Amino acid sequence: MRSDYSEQQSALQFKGGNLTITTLELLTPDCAQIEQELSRQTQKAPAFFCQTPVLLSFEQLEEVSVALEMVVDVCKRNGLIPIAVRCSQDMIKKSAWALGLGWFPPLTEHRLKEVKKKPSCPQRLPTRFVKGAVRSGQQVYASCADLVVIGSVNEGAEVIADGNVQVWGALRGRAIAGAQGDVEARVLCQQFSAELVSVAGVFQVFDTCEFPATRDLPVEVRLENDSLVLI
Amino acid sequence: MARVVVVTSGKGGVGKTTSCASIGTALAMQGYRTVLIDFDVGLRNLDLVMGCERRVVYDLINVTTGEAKLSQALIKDKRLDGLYMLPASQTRDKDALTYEGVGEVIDALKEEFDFIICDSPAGIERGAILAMYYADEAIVVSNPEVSSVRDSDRIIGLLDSKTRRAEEGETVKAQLLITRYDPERVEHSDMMSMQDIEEILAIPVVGVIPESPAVLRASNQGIPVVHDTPSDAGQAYSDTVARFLGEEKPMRFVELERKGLFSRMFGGRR
Ligand SMILES: Nc1ncnc2c1ncn2[C@@H]1O[C@H](COP(=O)(O)OP(=O)(O)OP(=O)(O)O)[C@@H](O)[C@H]1O
Ligand SMILES: [Mg+2]
Repeated sequence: MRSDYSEQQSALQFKGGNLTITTLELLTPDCAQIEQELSRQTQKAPAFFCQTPVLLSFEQLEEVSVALEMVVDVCKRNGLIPIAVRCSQDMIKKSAWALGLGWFPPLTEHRLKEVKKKPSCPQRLPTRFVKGAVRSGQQVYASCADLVVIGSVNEGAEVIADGNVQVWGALRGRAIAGAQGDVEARVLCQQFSAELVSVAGVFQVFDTCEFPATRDLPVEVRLENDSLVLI
Repeated sequence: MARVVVVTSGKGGVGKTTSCASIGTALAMQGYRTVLIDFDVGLRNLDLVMGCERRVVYDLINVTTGEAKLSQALIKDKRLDGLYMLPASQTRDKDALTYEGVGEVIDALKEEFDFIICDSPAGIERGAILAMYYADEAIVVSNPEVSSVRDSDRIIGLLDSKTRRAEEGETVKAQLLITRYDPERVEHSDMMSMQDIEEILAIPVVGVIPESPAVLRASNQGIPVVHDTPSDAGQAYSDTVARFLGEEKPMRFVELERKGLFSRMFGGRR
């Protein structure tokens, strides 16, 4: 029997949601250089550098060692408050923990490399067909095969094939063809507003503003001289 | 055969509870024996919207743990015969609900009711999965904005993978209910249009509920808005339930009202 009739409120409530936050992509581990650059920027836009939370990204610095606490100090001196780091390096992740900063996994590059590391396909398997929309949070992978989606690939969804990817609908999420390095692979779709497309590890991300004017027309993405072309 | 329907959304605050209350009420008005289950443990508010918060003694968790009998926990609606609700616990730990326990309660309710409507909590965690797990059908509630539509997309994906029906290789029939629709803001591209949302989510639209002051008024009074028959939202909910029961109805309240002579001559849209 429930005796406790009190209107006990919960102490807190988690709320989902998206915040836009500035990412500071570090291109050098040299704190003096960073400091110089930041103070120059501060003078240009003092209003921005005032208790502004930032995410420190070290994705461009994978090969070098970084003194995170010094970078954080430099930021704070210039009015930026680092709240988290994004990196693949374990050292930086550990320092972030010690400094009370959050950690985000690196963006796409990392995963694309991983995909490429796997052994290549000895032979092509039959095409994998997916009927209906591929939805946010879902991932479909056609191993050693082509992938045909009879429907749309929505934002936040990811379709991957070691062969070609065909989307018989709108491509709004991510499509990765030639995931094991097949440079002949292509991504084909009826409508194009992808977040990311990749062929053989070469990828491109798209902001909503930079879709081709032909977004409502069929698009083909393939590799030409190591860069992606959209036709 | 009883139909178990989950009302779910992913994103919070889009109108699930409001919709549950009105859909359940409208079903009962048509003579269907209907029970509403509040799965939002810790944040129960379906009882408030239904106006029966002062009669809550036992709750869903008490029933699953055997502390109360189902018949003791069910609250009968003041206004309609054949409409009942099973409240959520305000105080218990979320993890007190188990798949087994919920399954037993739903099986028992199936003996008594035509419709079992489950009000899901927001999010995609355990509580939301539990609310959808035993569903035969889903009403996916979405607001005309990008983040809500995206969360709904995510939820539809979970309906296809995390439910008992999905485990048994069957599908949960999902229909879309767009709430807080404001044709004027759609016109100005501040909000997504019904067509855009339908195209992205690729499930049929069962109803569009306009943004309406009648909704807040109704929930403050504890009377589901569908009782407010002159109101736009009330009418939109009764249309929705008619469609849900298989009737064909044109969508109302989705076009911007033009106050021209022409529309007045022909009665216009209400
Ligand atoms: N059509 C509408 N017009 C105006 N206000 C609305 C409409 N539908 C819902 N609301 C308001 O939106 C708020 C949230 O509604 P409701 O509690 O039904 O959402 P919910 O999805 O159940 O939220 P939660 O995720 O917290 O359970 C309430 O204040 C309600 O009055
Ligand atoms: Mg609710």
